[in-house]
Amino acid sequence: MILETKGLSKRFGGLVAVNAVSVGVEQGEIRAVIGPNGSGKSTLLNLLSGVYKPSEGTVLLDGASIGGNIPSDITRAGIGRTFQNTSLFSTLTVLDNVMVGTYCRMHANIFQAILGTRTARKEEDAAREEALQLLDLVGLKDRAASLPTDLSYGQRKTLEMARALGSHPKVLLLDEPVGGLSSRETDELVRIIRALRGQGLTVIVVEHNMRFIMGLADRISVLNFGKKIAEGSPDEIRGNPEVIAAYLGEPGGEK
Amino acid sequence: MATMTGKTSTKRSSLSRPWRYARYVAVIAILAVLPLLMPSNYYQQLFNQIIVFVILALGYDLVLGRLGQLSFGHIGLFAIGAYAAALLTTRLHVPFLVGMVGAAVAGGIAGAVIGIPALRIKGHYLVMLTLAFGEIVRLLLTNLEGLTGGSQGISEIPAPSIGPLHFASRQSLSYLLLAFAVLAVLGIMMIDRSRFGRAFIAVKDAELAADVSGVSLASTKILAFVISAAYAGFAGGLYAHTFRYISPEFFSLGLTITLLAMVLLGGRGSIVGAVVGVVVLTLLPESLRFIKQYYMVVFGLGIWLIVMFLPGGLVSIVPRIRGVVARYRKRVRAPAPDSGEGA
Repeated sequence: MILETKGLSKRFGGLVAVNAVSVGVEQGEIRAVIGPNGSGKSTLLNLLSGVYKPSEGTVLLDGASIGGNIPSDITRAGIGRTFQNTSLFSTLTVLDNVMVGTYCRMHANIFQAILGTRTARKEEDAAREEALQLLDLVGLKDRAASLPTDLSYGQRKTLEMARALGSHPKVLLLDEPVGGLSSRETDELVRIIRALRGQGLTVIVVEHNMRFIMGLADRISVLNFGKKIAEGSPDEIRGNPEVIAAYLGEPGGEK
Repeated sequence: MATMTGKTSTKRSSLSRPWRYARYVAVIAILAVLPLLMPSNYYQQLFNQIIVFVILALGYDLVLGRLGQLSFGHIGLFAIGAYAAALLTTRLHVPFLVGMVGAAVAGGIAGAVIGIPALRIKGHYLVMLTLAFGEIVRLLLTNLEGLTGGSQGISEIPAPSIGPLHFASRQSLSYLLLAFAVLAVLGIMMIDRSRFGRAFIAVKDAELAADVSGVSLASTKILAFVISAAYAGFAGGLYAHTFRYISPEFFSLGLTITLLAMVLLGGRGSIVGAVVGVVVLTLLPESLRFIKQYYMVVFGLGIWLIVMFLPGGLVSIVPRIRGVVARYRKRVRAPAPDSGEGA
Protein backbone atom coordinates (compact mmCIF):
# COMPACT_ATOMS: atom_id res chain seq x y z
CA MET A 1 0.00 0.00 0.00
CA ILE A 2 1.64 3.23 -1.11
CA LEU A 3 -0.89 5.63 0.36
CA GLU A 4 -3.24 4.98 3.21
CA THR A 5 -5.55 7.07 5.33
CA LYS A 6 -6.91 5.89 8.67
CA GLY A 7 -9.99 7.54 10.14
CA LEU A 8 -9.16 10.80 8.42
CA SER A 9 -11.46 13.68 9.43
CA LYS A 10 -11.62 17.40 8.79
CA ARG A 11 -13.99 19.73 10.59
CA PHE A 12 -14.64 23.37 9.73
CA GLY A 13 -16.40 24.72 12.80
CA GLY A 14 -19.49 22.54 13.08
CA LEU A 15 -19.26 21.18 9.54
CA VAL A 16 -17.61 17.80 9.10
CA ALA A 17 -16.24 18.00 5.55
CA VAL A 18 -14.41 14.68 5.72
CA ASN A 19 -15.64 12.13 8.23
CA ALA A 20 -13.46 9.21 9.33
CA VAL A 21 -12.38 8.23 5.84
CA SER A 22 -10.08 5.23 5.50
CA VAL A 23 -8.76 4.35 2.08
CA GLY A 24 -5.81 2.36 0.84
CA VAL A 25 -4.24 2.81 -2.58
CA GLU A 26 -1.84 0.30 -4.12
CA GLN A 27 1.27 1.34 -5.97
CA GLY A 28 0.65 1.82 -9.69
CA GLU A 29 -3.09 2.10 -9.19
CA ILE A 30 -5.32 4.72 -10.76
CA ARG A 31 -7.84 5.54 -8.05
CA ALA A 32 -10.81 7.80 -8.69
CA VAL A 33 -12.62 9.67 -5.94
CA ILE A 34 -16.15 10.62 -6.88
CA GLY A 35 -19.20 11.99 -5.13
CA PRO A 36 -21.83 14.71 -5.40
CA ASN A 37 -20.89 18.37 -4.94
CA GLY A 38 -19.82 19.09 -1.39
CA SER A 39 -19.16 15.46 -0.58
CA GLY A 40 -15.61 16.21 0.60
CA LYS A 41 -13.54 15.14 -2.43
CA SER A 42 -11.53 18.33 -2.69
CA THR A 43 -11.12 18.50 1.08
CA LEU A 44 -9.70 14.98 0.97
CA LEU A 45 -7.14 16.02 -1.67
CA ASN A 46 -6.25 19.06 0.43
CA LEU A 47 -5.68 16.79 3.42
CA LEU A 48 -3.49 14.43 1.41
CA SER A 49 -1.37 17.29 0.03
CA GLY A 50 -1.03 19.13 3.34
CA VAL A 51 -3.03 22.18 2.34
CA TYR A 52 -5.33 21.35 5.27
CA LYS A 53 -4.26 19.75 8.54
CA PRO A 54 -6.35 16.74 9.56
CA SER A 55 -8.64 17.21 12.59
CA GLU A 56 -8.26 13.50 13.28
CA GLY A 57 -6.71 10.45 11.72
CA THR A 58 -3.50 9.80 9.87
CA VAL A 59 -2.09 9.75 6.36
CA LEU A 60 0.61 7.20 5.60
CA LEU A 61 2.86 7.42 2.57
CA ASP A 62 4.89 4.26 2.09
CA GLY A 63 4.16 3.46 5.71
CA ALA A 64 5.45 6.78 7.08
CA SER A 65 3.04 9.25 8.66
CA ILE A 66 2.81 12.56 6.77
CA GLY A 67 -0.48 13.83 8.18
CA GLY A 68 -0.15 17.38 9.49
CA ASN A 69 3.10 18.12 7.63
CA ILE A 70 3.40 21.31 5.58
CA PRO A 71 2.74 20.99 1.83
CA SER A 72 6.36 21.41 0.67
CA ASP A 73 7.50 18.62 3.01
CA ILE A 74 4.74 16.35 1.74
CA THR A 75 5.75 17.12 -1.84
CA ARG A 76 9.34 16.28 -1.00
CA ALA A 77 8.14 13.03 0.59
CA GLY A 78 6.49 12.09 -2.71
CA ILE A 79 3.00 13.51 -3.27
CA GLY A 80 2.42 15.93 -6.14
CA ARG A 81 -0.85 17.62 -7.03
CA THR A 82 -2.68 19.87 -9.46
CA PHE A 83 -5.46 22.35 -8.74
CA GLN A 84 -9.06 22.37 -9.91
CA ASN A 85 -8.75 25.80 -11.53
CA THR A 86 -4.99 25.66 -12.18
CA SER A 87 -2.59 27.78 -10.19
CA LEU A 88 0.44 28.56 -12.30
CA PHE A 89 3.27 31.09 -11.88
CA SER A 90 2.05 33.70 -14.31
CA THR A 91 5.28 35.69 -14.68
CA LEU A 92 7.55 32.67 -15.13
CA THR A 93 7.92 30.97 -18.50
CA VAL A 94 6.33 27.58 -19.13
CA LEU A 95 9.77 25.96 -18.76
CA ASP A 96 10.48 27.78 -15.48
CA ASN A 97 7.09 26.72 -14.13
CA VAL A 98 8.13 23.10 -14.54
CA MET A 99 11.59 23.85 -13.17
CA VAL A 100 10.01 25.16 -9.95
CA GLY A 101 8.66 21.62 -9.66
CA THR A 102 12.22 20.27 -9.70
CA TYR A 103 13.28 22.73 -6.93
CA CYS A 104 12.90 20.29 -4.06
CA ARG A 105 15.15 17.70 -5.68
CA MET A 106 18.02 20.14 -6.23
CA HIS A 107 20.82 20.48 -3.69
CA ALA A 108 23.04 23.43 -4.68
CA ASN A 109 22.98 26.01 -1.90
CA ILE A 110 22.70 29.76 -2.41
CA PHE A 111 26.47 30.33 -2.41
CA GLN A 112 27.04 27.68 -5.05
CA ALA A 113 24.23 29.22 -7.08
CA ILE A 114 25.66 32.76 -6.87
CA LEU A 115 29.19 31.62 -7.63
CA GLY A 116 27.97 29.37 -10.45
CA THR A 117 30.02 26.40 -9.31
CA ARG A 118 30.24 23.32 -11.49
CA THR A 119 27.90 21.34 -9.27
CA ALA A 120 25.30 24.10 -9.43
CA ARG A 121 25.56 24.46 -13.21
CA LYS A 122 25.41 20.71 -13.80
CA GLU A 123 22.38 20.39 -11.60
CA GLU A 124 20.69 23.33 -13.31
CA ASP A 125 21.34 21.86 -16.77
CA ALA A 126 20.00 18.48 -15.68
CA ALA A 127 16.87 20.10 -14.24
CA ARG A 128 16.28 22.06 -17.46
CA GLU A 129 16.76 18.93 -19.56
CA GLU A 130 14.30 17.02 -17.43
CA ALA A 131 11.76 19.85 -17.46
CA LEU A 132 11.94 19.88 -21.27
CA GLN A 133 11.31 16.13 -21.32
CA LEU A 134 8.27 16.59 -19.11
CA LEU A 135 7.00 19.34 -21.40
CA ASP A 136 7.54 16.98 -24.31
CA LEU A 137 5.50 14.33 -22.51
CA VAL A 138 2.52 16.65 -22.15
CA GLY A 139 2.96 18.11 -25.64
CA LEU A 140 4.14 21.58 -24.65
CA LYS A 141 7.81 21.47 -25.58
CA ASP A 142 7.43 24.05 -28.33
CA ARG A 143 5.79 26.44 -25.85
CA ALA A 144 8.67 26.32 -23.34
CA ALA A 145 9.48 30.03 -23.69
CA SER A 146 5.86 31.23 -23.59
CA LEU A 147 4.11 32.54 -20.54
CA PRO A 148 1.31 30.42 -19.02
CA THR A 149 -1.17 33.18 -19.86
CA ASP A 150 -0.50 32.53 -23.55
CA LEU A 151 -1.67 28.92 -23.27
CA SER A 152 -5.13 27.51 -23.76
CA TYR A 153 -7.07 26.26 -20.75
CA GLY A 154 -6.30 22.65 -21.59
CA GLN A 155 -2.61 23.40 -22.05
CA ARG A 156 -2.50 25.14 -18.69
CA LYS A 157 -3.91 22.01 -17.06
CA THR A 158 -1.29 19.76 -18.61
CA LEU A 159 1.44 22.28 -17.76
CA GLU A 160 0.41 22.07 -14.15
CA MET A 161 0.66 18.30 -14.36
CA ALA A 162 4.19 18.57 -15.78
CA ARG A 163 5.11 20.89 -12.90
CA ALA A 164 3.78 18.37 -10.37
CA LEU A 165 5.79 15.61 -12.07
CA GLY A 166 8.94 17.71 -11.70
CA SER A 167 9.14 16.76 -8.03
CA HIS A 168 9.21 13.03 -8.96
CA PRO A 169 6.10 12.16 -6.96
CA LYS A 170 5.25 8.61 -5.98
CA VAL A 171 1.61 9.62 -5.88
CA LEU A 172 0.03 12.24 -8.15
CA LEU A 173 -3.22 13.90 -7.08
CA LEU A 174 -5.33 15.38 -9.87
CA ASP A 175 -8.21 17.69 -8.95
CA GLU A 176 -10.78 17.61 -11.78
CA PRO A 177 -8.16 17.34 -14.55
CA VAL A 178 -10.59 17.21 -17.47
CA GLY A 179 -13.11 19.85 -16.36
CA GLY A 180 -13.39 22.29 -19.27
CA LEU A 181 -11.34 20.16 -21.65
CA SER A 182 -12.45 19.14 -25.13
CA SER A 183 -12.96 15.42 -25.75
CA ARG A 184 -9.80 15.35 -27.86
CA GLU A 185 -7.81 16.92 -25.00
CA THR A 186 -9.46 14.47 -22.57
CA ASP A 187 -8.36 11.48 -24.66
CA GLU A 188 -4.84 12.89 -24.76
CA LEU A 189 -4.83 13.23 -20.99
CA VAL A 190 -6.00 9.62 -20.57
CA ARG A 191 -3.09 8.55 -22.75
CA ILE A 192 -0.61 10.54 -20.64
CA ILE A 193 -1.97 9.25 -17.31
CA ARG A 194 -1.82 5.66 -18.56
CA ALA A 195 1.76 6.17 -19.73
CA LEU A 196 2.73 7.53 -16.30
CA ARG A 197 1.10 4.61 -14.57
CA GLY A 198 3.11 2.37 -16.84
CA GLN A 199 6.20 3.88 -15.20
CA GLY A 200 4.89 2.95 -11.76
CA LEU A 201 3.22 6.23 -10.77
CA THR A 202 0.16 6.04 -8.53
CA VAL A 203 -2.62 8.44 -9.52
CA ILE A 204 -5.54 9.65 -7.43
CA VAL A 205 -8.05 11.60 -9.45
CA VAL A 206 -11.10 13.59 -8.37
CA GLU A 207 -13.43 14.07 -11.30
CA HIS A 208 -17.07 14.60 -12.28
CA ASN A 209 -16.76 13.35 -15.83
CA MET A 210 -18.07 9.76 -15.47
CA ARG A 211 -17.10 8.61 -18.94
CA PHE A 212 -13.50 9.65 -18.21
CA ILE A 213 -13.53 8.00 -14.77
CA MET A 214 -15.11 4.73 -15.87
CA GLY A 215 -12.62 4.37 -18.73
CA LEU A 216 -9.55 5.20 -16.65
CA ALA A 217 -9.86 4.18 -13.01
CA ASP A 218 -8.84 0.79 -11.60
CA ARG A 219 -10.87 1.40 -8.48
CA ILE A 220 -13.29 4.07 -7.37
CA SER A 221 -13.99 5.45 -3.90
CA VAL A 222 -17.32 7.19 -3.47
CA LEU A 223 -17.82 9.97 -0.93
CA ASN A 224 -21.12 11.42 0.25
CA PHE A 225 -21.46 14.01 3.02
CA GLY A 226 -17.81 13.46 3.89
CA LYS A 227 -18.15 9.70 4.39
CA LYS A 228 -16.94 6.91 2.20
CA ILE A 229 -20.08 5.06 1.10
CA ALA A 230 -18.65 2.65 -1.44
CA GLU A 231 -15.44 1.39 -3.00
CA GLY A 232 -14.80 -0.99 -5.85
CA SER A 233 -14.14 -1.50 -9.54
CA PRO A 234 -15.95 0.77 -12.03
CA ASP A 235 -18.44 -2.06 -12.75
CA GLU A 236 -19.18 -2.61 -9.08
CA ILE A 237 -19.69 1.11 -8.50
CA ARG A 238 -21.94 1.48 -11.53
CA GLY A 239 -24.41 -1.02 -10.10
CA ASN A 240 -24.15 0.00 -6.44
CA PRO A 241 -27.62 1.10 -5.22
CA GLU A 242 -26.17 3.35 -2.51
CA VAL A 243 -24.09 5.25 -5.06
CA ILE A 244 -27.06 5.65 -7.37
CA ALA A 245 -29.09 6.92 -4.43
CA ALA A 246 -26.39 9.43 -3.49
CA TYR A 247 -26.38 10.88 -6.97
CA LEU A 248 -30.10 10.74 -7.72
CA GLY A 249 -31.56 11.13 -4.20
CA GLU A 250 -32.98 8.49 -1.86
CA PRO A 251 -35.82 6.45 -3.36
CA GLY A 252 -38.79 7.08 -1.09
CA GLY A 253 -36.72 9.23 1.31
CA GLU A 254 -38.43 11.76 3.58
CA LYS A 255 -36.63 14.77 2.11
CA MET B 1 -1.97 40.92 -27.30
CA ALA B 2 -1.04 38.02 -25.05
CA THR B 3 0.84 36.15 -27.78
CA MET B 4 2.80 39.29 -28.49
CA THR B 5 4.41 39.41 -25.06
CA GLY B 6 5.28 35.74 -25.32
CA LYS B 7 6.98 36.31 -28.63
CA THR B 8 9.07 39.22 -27.46
CA SER B 9 10.31 37.21 -24.50
CA THR B 10 11.37 34.34 -26.76
CA LYS B 11 13.08 36.70 -29.13
CA ARG B 12 15.11 38.19 -26.30
CA SER B 13 16.56 34.90 -25.15
CA SER B 14 17.36 33.85 -28.72
CA LEU B 15 19.90 36.63 -29.17
CA SER B 16 22.92 34.88 -30.64
CA ARG B 17 25.96 34.34 -28.42
CA PRO B 18 28.45 36.77 -30.04
CA TRP B 19 25.87 39.52 -29.82
CA ARG B 20 25.29 38.90 -26.16
CA TYR B 21 29.02 39.07 -25.47
CA ALA B 22 29.30 42.22 -27.59
CA ARG B 23 26.61 43.74 -25.42
CA TYR B 24 28.51 42.95 -22.24
CA VAL B 25 31.74 44.33 -23.67
CA ALA B 26 29.92 47.54 -24.64
CA VAL B 27 28.51 47.90 -21.12
CA ILE B 28 31.94 47.39 -19.54
CA ALA B 29 33.51 49.92 -21.93
CA ILE B 30 30.88 52.53 -21.11
CA LEU B 31 31.35 51.91 -17.39
CA ALA B 32 35.11 52.28 -17.74
CA VAL B 33 34.78 55.67 -19.43
CA LEU B 34 31.89 57.14 -17.41
CA PRO B 35 33.89 58.15 -14.30
CA LEU B 36 36.22 60.17 -16.53
CA LEU B 37 33.39 62.25 -17.96
CA MET B 38 32.17 63.88 -14.77
CA PRO B 39 32.45 67.66 -15.23
CA SER B 40 33.13 68.47 -11.57
CA ASN B 41 33.86 67.03 -8.19
CA TYR B 42 30.21 67.56 -7.36
CA TYR B 43 29.03 65.35 -10.21
CA GLN B 44 31.68 62.79 -9.41
CA GLN B 45 30.18 62.49 -5.95
CA LEU B 46 26.65 62.34 -7.40
CA PHE B 47 27.85 59.54 -9.66
CA ASN B 48 29.21 57.68 -6.63
CA GLN B 49 25.94 58.18 -4.79
CA ILE B 50 24.07 56.70 -7.76
CA ILE B 51 26.23 53.56 -7.71
CA VAL B 52 25.73 53.06 -3.98
CA PHE B 53 21.99 53.38 -4.43
CA VAL B 54 22.00 50.99 -7.39
CA ILE B 55 23.41 48.30 -5.10
CA LEU B 56 20.80 49.15 -2.46
CA ALA B 57 17.96 49.11 -5.01
CA LEU B 58 19.13 45.81 -6.54
CA GLY B 59 18.92 44.18 -3.13
CA TYR B 60 15.62 45.85 -2.29
CA ASP B 61 14.13 44.53 -5.53
CA LEU B 62 14.83 40.94 -4.46
CA VAL B 63 12.14 41.40 -1.82
CA LEU B 64 9.88 43.80 -3.72
CA GLY B 65 10.09 42.60 -7.32
CA ARG B 66 10.97 38.93 -6.90
CA LEU B 67 9.44 37.82 -3.60
CA GLY B 68 6.59 40.33 -3.98
CA GLN B 69 6.70 41.67 -0.41
CA LEU B 70 6.58 45.35 0.45
CA SER B 71 9.28 46.35 2.95
CA PHE B 72 9.73 49.83 4.40
CA GLY B 73 12.62 48.68 6.55
CA HIS B 74 15.44 48.71 4.02
CA ILE B 75 16.72 52.18 4.84
CA GLY B 76 17.03 50.90 8.41
CA LEU B 77 19.14 48.02 7.08
CA PHE B 78 21.13 50.47 4.96
CA ALA B 79 21.77 52.54 8.12
CA ILE B 80 22.84 49.47 10.09
CA GLY B 81 25.37 48.64 7.38
CA ALA B 82 26.65 52.23 7.29
CA TYR B 83 27.10 52.39 11.06
CA ALA B 84 28.63 48.90 11.22
CA ALA B 85 31.27 49.80 8.64
CA ALA B 86 31.88 53.24 10.16
CA LEU B 87 32.24 51.94 13.72
CA LEU B 88 34.40 48.99 12.72
CA THR B 89 36.87 51.20 10.85
CA THR B 90 36.88 54.26 13.16
CA ARG B 91 36.74 52.51 16.55
CA LEU B 92 38.28 49.11 15.94
CA HIS B 93 40.47 50.26 13.03
CA VAL B 94 39.80 47.14 11.00
CA PRO B 95 40.68 47.18 7.28
CA PHE B 96 38.09 48.52 4.85
CA LEU B 97 37.11 45.13 3.40
CA VAL B 98 36.69 43.57 6.83
CA GLY B 99 34.40 46.46 7.77
CA MET B 100 32.41 45.89 4.58
CA VAL B 101 31.94 42.22 5.39
CA GLY B 102 30.79 43.33 8.83
CA ALA B 103 28.30 45.73 7.21
CA ALA B 104 26.84 42.98 5.00
CA VAL B 105 26.65 40.52 7.90
CA ALA B 106 25.04 43.08 10.23
CA GLY B 107 22.51 43.90 7.52
CA GLY B 108 21.83 40.22 6.87
CA ILE B 109 21.23 39.44 10.54
CA ALA B 110 18.89 42.42 10.86
CA GLY B 111 17.17 41.20 7.68
CA ALA B 112 16.45 37.88 9.34
CA VAL B 113 14.93 39.82 12.25
CA ILE B 114 12.35 41.41 9.93
CA GLY B 115 12.15 38.35 7.68
CA ILE B 116 11.04 35.94 10.41
CA PRO B 117 7.88 37.88 11.32
CA ALA B 118 7.23 38.24 7.58
CA LEU B 119 6.53 34.50 7.52
CA ARG B 120 3.31 35.08 9.43
CA ILE B 121 2.54 38.70 8.71
CA LYS B 122 1.43 39.89 5.30
CA GLY B 123 0.32 42.97 3.41
CA HIS B 124 -0.51 46.04 5.46
CA TYR B 125 0.76 44.54 8.68
CA LEU B 126 4.14 43.73 7.18
CA VAL B 127 4.33 47.32 5.96
CA MET B 128 3.64 48.57 9.49
CA LEU B 129 6.17 46.19 10.98
CA THR B 130 8.98 47.10 8.60
CA LEU B 131 8.13 50.78 8.92
CA ALA B 132 8.43 50.48 12.69
CA PHE B 133 11.75 48.67 12.27
CA GLY B 134 13.19 51.53 10.22
CA GLU B 135 12.06 54.12 12.76
CA ILE B 136 13.40 52.10 15.70
CA VAL B 137 16.78 51.89 14.00
CA ARG B 138 16.82 55.64 13.48
CA LEU B 139 15.79 56.32 17.10
CA LEU B 140 18.47 53.96 18.39
CA LEU B 141 21.11 55.63 16.25
CA THR B 142 20.07 59.01 17.61
CA ASN B 143 19.86 57.97 21.25
CA LEU B 144 22.70 55.49 21.74
CA GLU B 145 25.07 58.45 21.85
CA GLY B 146 27.98 56.60 23.40
CA LEU B 147 28.12 54.16 20.51
CA THR B 148 26.80 56.10 17.54
CA GLY B 149 27.65 59.69 18.34
CA GLY B 150 23.94 60.50 18.53
CA SER B 151 22.61 63.16 16.19
CA GLN B 152 26.20 64.33 15.63
CA GLY B 153 26.79 61.12 13.73
CA ILE B 154 30.21 59.70 12.89
CA SER B 155 32.72 61.73 10.94
CA GLU B 156 36.23 61.17 9.62
CA ILE B 157 35.37 57.74 8.26
CA PRO B 158 38.48 56.70 6.31
CA ALA B 159 38.49 56.48 2.53
CA PRO B 160 38.53 52.87 1.32
CA SER B 161 41.84 51.17 0.85
CA ILE B 162 42.57 47.63 -0.20
CA GLY B 163 46.15 46.56 0.44
CA PRO B 164 48.38 49.11 -1.30
CA LEU B 165 45.43 50.67 -3.20
CA HIS B 166 44.07 53.82 -1.63
CA PHE B 167 40.84 55.24 -3.02
CA ALA B 168 41.11 58.77 -1.68
CA SER B 169 40.07 60.70 -4.80
CA ARG B 170 36.44 60.66 -5.80
CA GLN B 171 37.32 59.44 -9.26
CA SER B 172 39.27 56.43 -8.04
CA LEU B 173 36.42 55.76 -5.65
CA SER B 174 34.04 55.71 -8.65
CA TYR B 175 35.96 52.80 -10.10
CA LEU B 176 35.96 50.90 -6.83
CA LEU B 177 32.22 51.41 -6.44
CA LEU B 178 31.61 50.41 -10.06
CA ALA B 179 33.51 47.18 -9.47
CA PHE B 180 31.29 46.40 -6.49
CA ALA B 181 28.18 47.31 -8.49
CA VAL B 182 29.18 44.96 -11.30
CA LEU B 183 29.63 42.17 -8.75
CA ALA B 184 26.26 43.05 -7.24
CA VAL B 185 24.58 42.84 -10.65
CA LEU B 186 26.29 39.52 -11.40
CA GLY B 187 25.09 38.19 -8.04
CA ILE B 188 21.49 39.11 -8.83
CA MET B 189 21.78 37.64 -12.33
CA MET B 190 23.05 34.37 -10.89
CA ILE B 191 20.24 34.29 -8.33
CA ASP B 192 17.64 35.05 -11.01
CA ARG B 193 18.85 32.10 -13.06
CA SER B 194 18.99 29.68 -10.14
CA ARG B 195 16.34 27.59 -8.46
CA PHE B 196 16.21 30.25 -5.74
CA GLY B 197 15.34 33.02 -8.19
CA ARG B 198 12.53 30.91 -9.62
CA ALA B 199 11.33 30.06 -6.12
CA PHE B 200 11.14 33.76 -5.14
CA ILE B 201 8.95 34.56 -8.14
CA ALA B 202 6.87 31.42 -7.63
CA VAL B 203 6.09 32.60 -4.08
CA LYS B 204 5.09 36.01 -5.43
CA ASP B 205 2.88 34.62 -8.21
CA ALA B 206 1.08 31.85 -6.31
CA GLU B 207 2.19 31.09 -2.77
CA LEU B 208 0.11 27.94 -2.24
CA ALA B 209 1.11 26.51 -5.62
CA ALA B 210 4.77 27.15 -4.77
CA ASP B 211 4.30 25.34 -1.47
CA VAL B 212 2.71 22.24 -3.02
CA SER B 213 5.33 22.30 -5.78
CA GLY B 214 7.90 21.64 -3.06
CA VAL B 215 9.18 25.18 -2.38
CA SER B 216 9.51 25.67 1.36
CA LEU B 217 7.88 29.04 1.98
CA ALA B 218 9.66 29.74 5.26
CA SER B 219 13.22 29.18 4.07
CA THR B 220 12.56 30.88 0.73
CA LYS B 221 11.19 34.05 2.32
CA ILE B 222 13.93 34.21 4.95
CA LEU B 223 16.56 33.69 2.26
CA ALA B 224 15.19 36.53 0.12
CA PHE B 225 15.07 38.88 3.11
CA VAL B 226 18.57 37.99 4.28
CA ILE B 227 20.25 38.40 0.88
CA SER B 228 18.31 41.57 0.24
CA ALA B 229 19.34 42.90 3.65
CA ALA B 230 22.98 41.92 3.12
CA TYR B 231 22.92 43.99 -0.09
CA ALA B 232 21.41 46.90 1.84
CA GLY B 233 24.02 46.58 4.59
CA PHE B 234 26.85 46.41 2.08
CA ALA B 235 25.51 49.45 0.23
CA GLY B 236 25.30 51.23 3.60
CA GLY B 237 28.96 50.48 4.27
CA LEU B 238 29.90 51.87 0.86
CA TYR B 239 27.81 54.96 1.59
CA ALA B 240 29.72 55.56 4.83
CA HIS B 241 33.10 55.27 3.11
CA THR B 242 31.97 57.40 0.16
CA PHE B 243 30.63 60.37 2.15
CA ARG B 244 32.99 59.84 5.10
CA TYR B 245 30.31 61.21 7.40
CA ILE B 246 26.98 59.70 8.49
CA SER B 247 24.22 60.86 10.82
CA PRO B 248 20.77 59.48 11.66
CA GLU B 249 18.84 62.22 9.86
CA PHE B 250 19.98 60.98 6.46
CA PHE B 251 18.28 57.59 6.97
CA SER B 252 14.80 59.06 7.11
CA LEU B 253 11.37 57.83 6.18
CA GLY B 254 11.61 60.12 3.14
CA LEU B 255 14.57 58.12 1.86
CA THR B 256 12.58 54.92 2.36
CA ILE B 257 9.88 56.28 0.07
CA THR B 258 12.48 57.42 -2.45
CA LEU B 259 13.95 53.90 -2.57
CA LEU B 260 10.51 52.42 -3.19
CA ALA B 261 9.83 55.03 -5.88
CA MET B 262 13.15 54.28 -7.57
CA VAL B 263 12.36 50.60 -7.99
CA LEU B 264 8.72 51.16 -8.97
CA LEU B 265 9.62 53.87 -11.46
CA GLY B 266 12.40 51.87 -13.10
CA GLY B 267 10.46 48.62 -13.10
CA ARG B 268 10.44 46.05 -10.36
CA GLY B 269 11.88 42.62 -10.91
CA SER B 270 14.35 43.99 -13.45
CA ILE B 271 18.05 44.78 -13.02
CA VAL B 272 17.93 47.47 -15.70
CA GLY B 273 14.82 48.83 -14.01
CA ALA B 274 16.61 49.30 -10.70
CA VAL B 275 19.49 51.11 -12.41
CA VAL B 276 17.17 53.34 -14.47
CA GLY B 277 15.04 54.17 -11.44
CA VAL B 278 18.02 55.20 -9.31
CA VAL B 279 19.58 57.28 -12.10
CA VAL B 280 16.33 59.08 -12.93
CA LEU B 281 15.34 59.80 -9.36
CA THR B 282 18.82 61.02 -8.44
CA LEU B 283 19.29 63.26 -11.47
CA LEU B 284 15.72 64.52 -11.64
CA PRO B 285 15.95 66.62 -8.46
CA GLU B 286 19.19 68.07 -9.83
CA SER B 287 17.77 68.98 -13.21
CA LEU B 288 14.54 70.30 -11.72
CA ARG B 289 16.31 72.61 -9.25
CA PHE B 290 15.18 75.69 -11.15
CA ILE B 291 11.54 75.03 -10.27
CA LYS B 292 12.43 74.69 -6.59
CA GLN B 293 9.43 73.92 -4.41
CA TYR B 294 7.36 72.73 -7.37
CA TYR B 295 9.74 69.82 -7.70
CA MET B 296 7.61 67.66 -5.42
CA VAL B 297 4.56 68.38 -7.59
CA VAL B 298 6.35 67.25 -10.74
CA PHE B 299 7.78 64.28 -8.86
CA GLY B 300 4.39 63.21 -7.50
CA LEU B 301 2.70 63.64 -10.85
CA GLY B 302 5.43 61.61 -12.56
CA ILE B 303 5.05 58.70 -10.13
CA TRP B 304 1.29 58.83 -10.51
CA LEU B 305 1.49 58.72 -14.32
CA ILE B 306 3.92 55.80 -14.24
CA VAL B 307 1.73 53.80 -11.88
CA MET B 308 -1.33 54.51 -14.03
CA PHE B 309 0.07 53.95 -17.49
CA LEU B 310 3.29 51.98 -17.05
CA PRO B 311 2.77 49.61 -14.14
CA GLY B 312 5.86 47.71 -15.27
CA GLY B 313 7.99 50.85 -14.83
CA LEU B 314 10.14 52.70 -17.37
CA VAL B 315 11.81 49.50 -18.61
CA SER B 316 8.45 48.17 -19.79
CA ILE B 317 8.45 50.84 -22.50
CA VAL B 318 10.89 48.82 -24.63
CA PRO B 319 8.88 45.58 -25.00
CA ARG B 320 5.78 47.71 -25.42
CA ILE B 321 7.21 49.62 -28.35
CA ARG B 322 8.50 46.33 -29.78
CA GLY B 323 5.01 44.89 -29.47
CA VAL B 324 3.42 47.84 -31.25
CA VAL B 325 6.01 47.69 -34.04
CA ALA B 326 5.56 43.93 -34.46
CA ARG B 327 1.78 44.27 -34.60
CA TYR B 328 2.03 47.07 -37.12
CA ARG B 329 4.41 45.08 -39.32
CA LYS B 330 2.18 42.04 -39.16
CA ARG B 331 -0.84 44.06 -40.21
CA VAL B 332 1.06 45.59 -43.11
CA ARG B 333 2.57 42.34 -44.36
CA ALA B 334 -0.11 39.71 -43.95
CA PRO B 335 -3.73 40.31 -43.06
CA ALA B 336 -4.24 36.55 -42.66
CA PRO B 337 -4.27 35.21 -39.07
CA ASP B 338 -1.03 33.78 -37.76
CA SER B 339 -1.11 30.02 -38.35
CA GLY B 340 1.89 29.30 -36.13
CA GLU B 341 0.05 30.09 -32.93
CA GLY B 342 -2.48 27.95 -31.05
CA ALA B 343 -2.46 24.22 -30.45
